[in-house]
Amino acid sequence: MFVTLADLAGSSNFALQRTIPLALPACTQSKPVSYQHYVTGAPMASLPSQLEGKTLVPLLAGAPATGSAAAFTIYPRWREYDDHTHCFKSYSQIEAIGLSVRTATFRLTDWTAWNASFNKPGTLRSSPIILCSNAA
Amino acid sequence: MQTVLATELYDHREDEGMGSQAFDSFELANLAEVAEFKVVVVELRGLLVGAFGSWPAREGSGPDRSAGGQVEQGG
Repeated sequence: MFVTLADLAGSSNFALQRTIPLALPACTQSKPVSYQHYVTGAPMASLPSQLEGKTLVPLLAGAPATGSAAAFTIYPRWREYDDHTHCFKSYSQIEAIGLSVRTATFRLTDWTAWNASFNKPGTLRSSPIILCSNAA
Repeated sequence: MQTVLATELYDHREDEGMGSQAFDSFELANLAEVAEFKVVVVELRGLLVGAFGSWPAREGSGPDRSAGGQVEQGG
C-alpha cells in the first residue's frame, strides 16, 4: 500500500519527510515528486537529476536490506515564510537549516546557521539549546 | 560541524511505523537535553557530521523559477 500526500494532510513536515524521504528532495532543489511516482517510475527510467539517493524498489520487492541504517534529510527555513512559497525564495534569505538523521530508534535534528555567502551551513560551533517541547 | 542553533531528539523506539500513531505519537517531547539521552545525541550528531560535514559550496542564489512548476502541497 502506498501512502499518498493526501493521506498525510495535517502531519508535520518531518513526518512527511520521514514517510517519503526520497520523494521530497531538498526544498531548494525543485518540484517535489510523490512517493508513488518515485517507486514506480524509478526502475523504468533514470532518476530526475534533482533527486539524490537510492531506489528502494528492491527492498520493497523483498531483497535483504543493505547499506546505511540511517536516513538523512535537510529542511531549510526561510525568513518570514513557513509555507511552500519559500521554495522559490533566494538562498540568501534562509534563516536556518535543519540537518536531520533518523535511525530505527531515534530522530535527531540540528538546526544550524546558514552561510549565505557560500550557500552552506555555517562552520562555527556553539552550544545547542532546547528548541521546544510539546509534551503535556 | 555547523553552528548549532537548536537541537531536537525524539524517541521512536516504540514506533512500528504502522497506523496513525506512527505520525503523531512519537515526536511530542524533545529529549535533546535529557541527561540519559546525551549519549544518543552524541552518537547521532556524529552521523550528521559524517553526512553533512563536507557540504560543498554551491553557486547560484536560489531555485530557477523558470525551470520548475508549482509545488504539490503546502506544509
